[in-house]
Amino acid sequence: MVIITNNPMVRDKFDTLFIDGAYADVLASVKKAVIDKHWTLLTHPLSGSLKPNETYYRTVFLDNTHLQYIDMQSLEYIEAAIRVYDKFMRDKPRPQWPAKVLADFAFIDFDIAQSTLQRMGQDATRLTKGGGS
Amino acid sequence: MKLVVGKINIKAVVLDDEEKIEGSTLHINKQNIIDLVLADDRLADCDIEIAKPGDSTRITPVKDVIEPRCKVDSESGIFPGVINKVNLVGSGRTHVLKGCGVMTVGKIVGFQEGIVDMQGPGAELTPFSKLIEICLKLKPKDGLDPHQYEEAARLAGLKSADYIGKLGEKVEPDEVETFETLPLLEQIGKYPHLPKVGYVYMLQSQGLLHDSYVYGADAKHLVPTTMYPTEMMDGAIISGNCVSACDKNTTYHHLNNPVISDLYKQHGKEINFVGVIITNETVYLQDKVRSSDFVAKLAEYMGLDGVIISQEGFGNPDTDLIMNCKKIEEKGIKTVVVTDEYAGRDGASQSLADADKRADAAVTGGNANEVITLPKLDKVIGQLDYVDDIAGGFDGSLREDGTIKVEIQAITGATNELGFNKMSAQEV
Repeated sequence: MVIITNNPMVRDKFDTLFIDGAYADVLASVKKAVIDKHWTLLTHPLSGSLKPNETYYRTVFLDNTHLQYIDMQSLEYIEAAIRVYDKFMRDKPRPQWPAKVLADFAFIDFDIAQSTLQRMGQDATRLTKGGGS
Repeated sequence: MKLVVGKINIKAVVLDDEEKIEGSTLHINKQNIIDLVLADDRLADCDIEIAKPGDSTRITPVKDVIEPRCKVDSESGIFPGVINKVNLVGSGRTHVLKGCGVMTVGKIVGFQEGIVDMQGPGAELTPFSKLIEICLKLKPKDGLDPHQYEEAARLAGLKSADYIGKLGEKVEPDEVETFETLPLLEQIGKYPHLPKVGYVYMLQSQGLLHDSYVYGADAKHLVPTTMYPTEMMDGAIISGNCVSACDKNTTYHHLNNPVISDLYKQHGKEINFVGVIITNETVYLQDKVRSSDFVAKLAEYMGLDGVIISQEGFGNPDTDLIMNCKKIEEKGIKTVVVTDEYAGRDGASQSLADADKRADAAVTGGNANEVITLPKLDKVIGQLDYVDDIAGGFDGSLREDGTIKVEIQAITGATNELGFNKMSAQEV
């Protein structure tokens, strides 16, 4: 499993494929991985009710088993998420948030990621940095 | 399961030493409620203010709204598994204090949202402007973890509504209504010629500030199950959902679910309302597949002819909505979905993040991206400094003249996806 994220809080806790960029860059790299590497989405790319022109952070979980084909369901979900993202940003770009608000957005994204790991029945320590094999 | 609901109309709320309901006036003792709330040592401060319909008052940020209720002559209490014993509820007698609500106010995180105006154009968009609001202004202990604060604030509201609701236990209600759904086979046999209709109730369940609880259990860990509609009226489902003010279901919505009350209005006339299937909205795609498979399986198992599906939230839950709709339709059961829209400020964009041709009957609660200018009001309960930081707000939302320009998604309940509001759309 691979975690693609631009959230430093998630990066600091788990082994991730960290994107030093924006929400849109996370969605773009997820799409690229689905197409080029034939990876499969494990989580919904629009998790949480925070709007794409509101939160800065995005964390997506993928199965990095290389399939013989592109998983069309994964492609549909990520493409729909990119369309939703573009629509929101076109309407109203994200404000310049104060550091405190950014930290809160990071925390919510982190918490949803952590709850999701629990739901997956994944041993979070296995993915935790320095926490196991 | 049969529930008798006695409605006590409350037309005034006054702060007093004595606690009672006299005529249609609710007398509450401020200090007693503050003591009850501050018994939770995670909270540092609590103050209570009353806001009335028509007041020049803006309440924000609103976390939850709860209607005071109580069980009558019963060992059970409302909100089972949360603040009362986890007994099965939904039968016997319940008294409701209609016309008032307990509202928890305070920001848990920096971008906490939710505006309720008691007058003006904003008031038109929220059902909570029509209630006398007993506002609990909460402050946490310094450095309290957001999970702990969210839980403390959630329990403060529920405990206060339970405490105030009990003042109605011995009061003769103004109006009494009875709701009854029989065990499945008996219910089907009662109106054999009417179409069997069920309700699929989707609950927000993604993580912190995005949770719902069923008899105290975190909904994200549940598999779909069936419930009697009357269980909701006793607080079997409560809200821990604080994000997306316009389309989150507050606990008030769960207690007064309009899909359930409208289905009951036609029960035995046009339809046979046989029950509710609750399900969740998770982040993990495997959970979505399992939950929607179970929902469709239960709908088939119950022999339903038609189903109403309601959603809560935006984006990710659109996928659950469509999965539920598609899989139920594939069983040959007709569906109607209830949702809201993020169709852009001009309303011209695609409304949902997911779609399917089988979702051909939809009711919308309105377009959350619509922009509104809220006038300056004389009084603020809560704090305004965050208004630029909320969903639908943006740099400069709070203008110098005190007016606020926001998308209606900042207003609590504005596009509620149970249909608990006035807005909708018609195909032309």
